[in-house]
Amino acid sequence: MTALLALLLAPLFSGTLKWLKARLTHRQGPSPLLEYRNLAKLGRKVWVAPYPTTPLFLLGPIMALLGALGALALLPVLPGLAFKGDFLLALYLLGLGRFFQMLAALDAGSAFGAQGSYREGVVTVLAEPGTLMALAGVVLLGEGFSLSGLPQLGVENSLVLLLALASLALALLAEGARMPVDDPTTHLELTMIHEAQLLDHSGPLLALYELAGSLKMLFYAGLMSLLLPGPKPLVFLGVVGAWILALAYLETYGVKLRYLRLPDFLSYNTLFGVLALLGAIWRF
Amino acid sequence: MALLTLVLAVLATGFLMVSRRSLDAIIRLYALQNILLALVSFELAGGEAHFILAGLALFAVKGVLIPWYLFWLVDRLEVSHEVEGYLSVSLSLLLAGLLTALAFRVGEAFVLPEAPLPQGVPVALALVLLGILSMVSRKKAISQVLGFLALENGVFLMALSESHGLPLFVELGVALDAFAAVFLAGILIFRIKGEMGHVDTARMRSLRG
Repeated sequence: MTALLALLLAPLFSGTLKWLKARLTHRQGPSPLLEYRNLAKLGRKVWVAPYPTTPLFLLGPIMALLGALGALALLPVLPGLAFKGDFLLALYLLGLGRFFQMLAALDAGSAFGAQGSYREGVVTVLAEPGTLMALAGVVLLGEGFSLSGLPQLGVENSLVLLLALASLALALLAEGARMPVDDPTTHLELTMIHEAQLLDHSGPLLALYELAGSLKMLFYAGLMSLLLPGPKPLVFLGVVGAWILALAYLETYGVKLRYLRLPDFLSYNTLFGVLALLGAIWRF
Repeated sequence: MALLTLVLAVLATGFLMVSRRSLDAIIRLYALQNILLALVSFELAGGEAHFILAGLALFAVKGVLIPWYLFWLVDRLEVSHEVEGYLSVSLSLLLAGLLTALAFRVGEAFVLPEAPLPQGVPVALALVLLGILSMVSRKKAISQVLGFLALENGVFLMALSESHGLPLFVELGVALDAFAAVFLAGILIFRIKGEMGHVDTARMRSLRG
C-alpha cells in the first residue's frame, strides 16, 4: 500500500523539487508534473548496453527499484506488512538495491562508474551505522520490535526521538545523494558520487534509477513521519512537503562538501545514532 | 515541552562547539547558547524578579559582551580563524557522545528532591564535560578559553535546574567572574603573542631562558 502511494508520489516529489529550485533562482521552471511525462518518454526509448556487459548491467536498475519498493512496502504509513524486526529488513533491502547499483556501475567498465561506486560505498559505510542504531533505539522504545509499533514524539521520549529524527534526516541527505553530500545536478564527473553510476544507463533503465532515487528519499521521509504524532498518511505528506522545501533551499543556497570532509559531516549521524540507542536502553 | 526543547538545543550547541572547526562559528554558537540559557531562566522564572534580572544580566554580559570581546580579540591577535585541535572531528564527536552518555547515566543521582528542572541536570553535567574536553583537545589559547566558557555555562545551567536559582548577587558575581576571567585570559594571550609571536600552546613545551 505504502509502496504504491510512494510510487505515485515519487515523480511528483522530484518534479516539485526541480520546479521549486528553479523558482528560487527566479527562473520559470518545469511544471511539477513534467516528471511523469519525462519518465514515460524515457520508458519508450531504446537502451544500449556497452560491450561487454553481463546481465548485471540490467539487474542494477531493476534491483535498485525493487529494493526501494520492498523497503517502502514495510512502512506502515498505510496499513501493510508488519513483523518482528522488519526495520532491519527494510534498511537492508535498500542496501541490496544499492549493492546491485554499484555492481552495475562497475560492470560497464568505465572509469567514472567505478569511481562513483566506490564513493557510494564509502558514503554508505559512513551513514549506515548511525541510521541503524537510531532506528534500533526508537524500535526498542516502541512495542513489538517492529515499525508498526513505533512511539510518537511526546514529552517523555523527546530526546531519543529527536536524535533519531536528526539521524534519519542526515541519512536521507546521504542516501538520497542530496546537496551537502552529493550534488544531483552536477555535470562534472570528477565530483559525482551517485550520478556517476548512472552514466552508462539510458532509456527505461535510467527511468528505473530515477524512480528508485526518489523512492529512497521517500522511504526516509516515511520513517520520519512514523515518529511524528498525527494521522499517518497526512503526516507523511507533510513531511514530504517539508523536505521539498528544505532540499530546495539547501541546494539553492548551500554548497557541496568536499568529498574528504564527508566523514566529519556523517560522524554527526553516527553520534546521533549512538546517543539515541543509549538513550533508549537507559530510558532517558 | 518548550523547556525541554530549549535544554536539548543547549546540548546541541555544546556538541557543535566541540566539533566545529571555525573559530567564528564557535563564538557565535557560544552566544547562541547563552541566549538559549537566558530563555531557560525566563521560562523558569514564573514572574520572580531576580530570575528575570539574572537572565537579563546573563544575556547582556555573556550573550553580547563576551562574544563581542572575543571577536575583537581574534581580530586584534591576527591569528587564523581555524581551530587546531589534537583530535579529528569524528574522534572529538565520538568522545563528546561518550561523555554525554556518561553524564546522562550518572545525572539522575545528582538531582535534588525539589529541583525545578530535573531534566536539565544531566545536560548541565554533559556541558561541563564537553567544556573540559574542548579545553584539553585544542591547541590555541583562544579556543581553550571558549572551552572554559562552555564549562561555566554548564555550571550555570546546573544551578538553574537544581535549586530555585542562586541569589541574584551570586549570579551576577559569577557572570562578572566569567567576564573577568575572559578579559584576563585575553590580556594573557596578548602577552603570549607579544613574547612568543604565536598563541599555540602545543609549541610551548620547551622552556626559554
